[in-house]
Amino acid sequence: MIKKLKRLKELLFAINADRIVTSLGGEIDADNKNPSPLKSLSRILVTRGLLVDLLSSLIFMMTSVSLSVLVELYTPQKDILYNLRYSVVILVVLFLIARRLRVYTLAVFPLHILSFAGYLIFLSTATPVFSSASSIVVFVTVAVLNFAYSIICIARPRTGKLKTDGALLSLVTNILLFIPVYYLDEGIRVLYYDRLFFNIYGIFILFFIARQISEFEDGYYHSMRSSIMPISRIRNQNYKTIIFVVGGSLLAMVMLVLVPINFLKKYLLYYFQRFMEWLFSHFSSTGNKQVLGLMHDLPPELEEAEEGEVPAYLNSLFYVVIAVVVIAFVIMIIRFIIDATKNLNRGNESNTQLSEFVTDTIEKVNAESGSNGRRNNFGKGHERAVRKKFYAAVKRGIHKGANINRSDSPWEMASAVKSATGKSIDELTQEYEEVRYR
Amino acid sequence: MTIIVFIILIGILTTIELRIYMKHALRKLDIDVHFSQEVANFGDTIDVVEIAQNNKRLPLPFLILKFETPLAIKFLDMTNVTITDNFYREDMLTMGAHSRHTRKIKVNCQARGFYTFPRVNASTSDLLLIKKMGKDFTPNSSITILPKIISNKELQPLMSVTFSETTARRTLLTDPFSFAGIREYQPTDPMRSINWTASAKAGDFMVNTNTSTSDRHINLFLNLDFYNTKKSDALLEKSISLAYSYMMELCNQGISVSFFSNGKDIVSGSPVSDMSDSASSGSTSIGQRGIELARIDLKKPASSMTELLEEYCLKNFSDNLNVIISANYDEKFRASLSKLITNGKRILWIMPCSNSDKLSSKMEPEADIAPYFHRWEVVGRD
Repeated sequence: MIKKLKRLKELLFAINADRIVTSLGGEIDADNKNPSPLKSLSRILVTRGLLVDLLSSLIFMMTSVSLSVLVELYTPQKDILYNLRYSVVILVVLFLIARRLRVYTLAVFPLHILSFAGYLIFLSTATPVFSSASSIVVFVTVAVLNFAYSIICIARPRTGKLKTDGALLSLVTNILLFIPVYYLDEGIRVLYYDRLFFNIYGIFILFFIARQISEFEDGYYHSMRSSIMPISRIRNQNYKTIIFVVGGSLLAMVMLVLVPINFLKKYLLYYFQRFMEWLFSHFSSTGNKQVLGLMHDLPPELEEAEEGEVPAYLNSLFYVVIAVVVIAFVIMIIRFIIDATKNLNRGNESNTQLSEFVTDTIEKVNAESGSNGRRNNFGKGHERAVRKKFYAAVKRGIHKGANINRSDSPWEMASAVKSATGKSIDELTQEYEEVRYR
Repeated sequence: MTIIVFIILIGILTTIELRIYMKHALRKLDIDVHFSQEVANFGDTIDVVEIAQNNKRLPLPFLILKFETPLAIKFLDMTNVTITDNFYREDMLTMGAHSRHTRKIKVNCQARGFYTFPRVNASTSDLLLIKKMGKDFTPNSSITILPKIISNKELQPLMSVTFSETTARRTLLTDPFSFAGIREYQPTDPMRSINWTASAKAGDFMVNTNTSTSDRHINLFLNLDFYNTKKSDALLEKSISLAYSYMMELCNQGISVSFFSNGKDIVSGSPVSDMSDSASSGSTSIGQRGIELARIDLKKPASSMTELLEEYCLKNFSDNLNVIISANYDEKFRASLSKLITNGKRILWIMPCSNSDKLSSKMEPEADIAPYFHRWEVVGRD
């Protein structure tokens, strides 16, 4: 008991910054020498692991908003100012700042209480939260949950590396919340399903960003804090990955929400049916335009027929065609982005004197022919056909273990292919030589 | 249902990304770590050059290049360097698509020898930092650090002894082009030697005297046998430096040197001996000998010095001065020296030793060797 009291006393009267930095495995005052993007803040806040801590707090915040749904189940009112619950982000940020200030640990607790009180005053004066008891209960629950989270963070400081168990727990909690929501009325059930899905999506994104930063900064700690490494370039590369992945998924989500998929699908399916009808009617001896037995003659908005009336094989064929088109479209977008970012590069060479003893030179190199992802130039017409056949035969031989070098002649390659596969390609080789070297 | 589809989609995309990187990340990647020059002088500052080239479209988030260098090559910037039996360095390089990152790091050559990079490893990760991939590369670069050159001031006593030995009159034959002095006429002097001007001044006949005809050539022997039971090599390193500096100075003075050693080459394992005439070949030959001395591996047991002396000194009928640098002073070695002296060979034994070591009775040369013994003191303890 005395030991616990002593420990508590040490905790309360320790310098908060020292406590955090030591627990993160760093040196005292190391933050002041840290070449972090948040260098300017490091005098008043412990900036090491700040972004990861913020993102972890936001993950918990989203879970607390989801848990408020559980509280709502026992209140007479439902769907009480749901979107306003996200204003607790102000409190989360205040708590984060309070627990990372370079002050005595004992001072951190009053700061928390002050922040909590300030948030409640904000809710009472600027929002209609305090107009009903149910809304007060819900909002105070969310605030108290985040307060408890922050106190736990102080009592058990996290290591610099992001722990996956917190995000996993949040994810599981949100998924389990689908169970009590299932018993709500249908109208509000669908609404809460969408909200829970949004929270799950948000947790995924926040966890991905936090993990990407944490793995980078802490997995390669010494390199990232070295004055002779091209840190800004490497860090920017990591940020680009984050932006690319998050941006892409956000775009996909927006398209899913905004684009009327079902409506589009019905129209596309209708015209796909028309096209298949026309195609088969040309090859049908009876000339019957309705060889496929399709029922729909009118566009979807005038037709009340259900999707289930479409034959299954046609439905499957339709989905395959759509999948191919979508994949081709995505590949086209990706190539466009890659080409666009290539053109935005700052220049072909940069020469940096990192220190008195280390110099870096970063430059672009020309892509080798045939290595830019495009196919080899086989010529045209008959020459193209023959050369492609020979190329494919040699590739098959290589896969079977033929020892073929770039400098080998066509007959040497044919010999190697024959010994590896057992098949003779002499005629093809003869033809290849004629078209290639005439 | 939507959530399940969402999770599955994320899993598929992550798996695809991971597979692409696991298969292609380390392909078309050229890594090279080399020294900026193949031969360097002791104490020189050279560059260790790291080149990483990504010849494909797939960008890598970074490339971590790890390699080891021997302790003889010290980085001037010790960031990200761990010291154990070697220097272990870890550098982080950027690796975008179709790009090359070249890093030059200044290093100082701190010990004689022949050095290579024992190991080079490159590792990277996928964009989502899930999986690390690594590959070892075999570097071909090497560097030879020449022995330390001893200052002229320290070498002066040895050079004085050498000059006196090479110019001492040993034969009756005189060199008519080398003027030694004037003395009074003696009946046995030829008339042509009379210096009439000096005679007129002196009032008596005076004759010119000339020095001996001497082909100034020195045979240098370097004995790398251990000199104590601990098998220390500090004085052996000093011996090598002394031999190299000595040869350089003799070459500068126009005295040709033949060099023999019982040390063994670090790569081939063969004894290091060179019969060529250093004076006629000039600095190229000295440079080559410096390389041979640098490549001596003291960890390999030296071959027999007695046999070497017998083969190249005893059986040689020339009257050249034989300078033997040897920190080793065991009985077998001294017996071979006595034998050389008995056979009329001109020798000079230079024994490097620490100035803190008192000359024990074991180190005292025998009476016949003593006139040809020169103790060369090295500052500090062994």
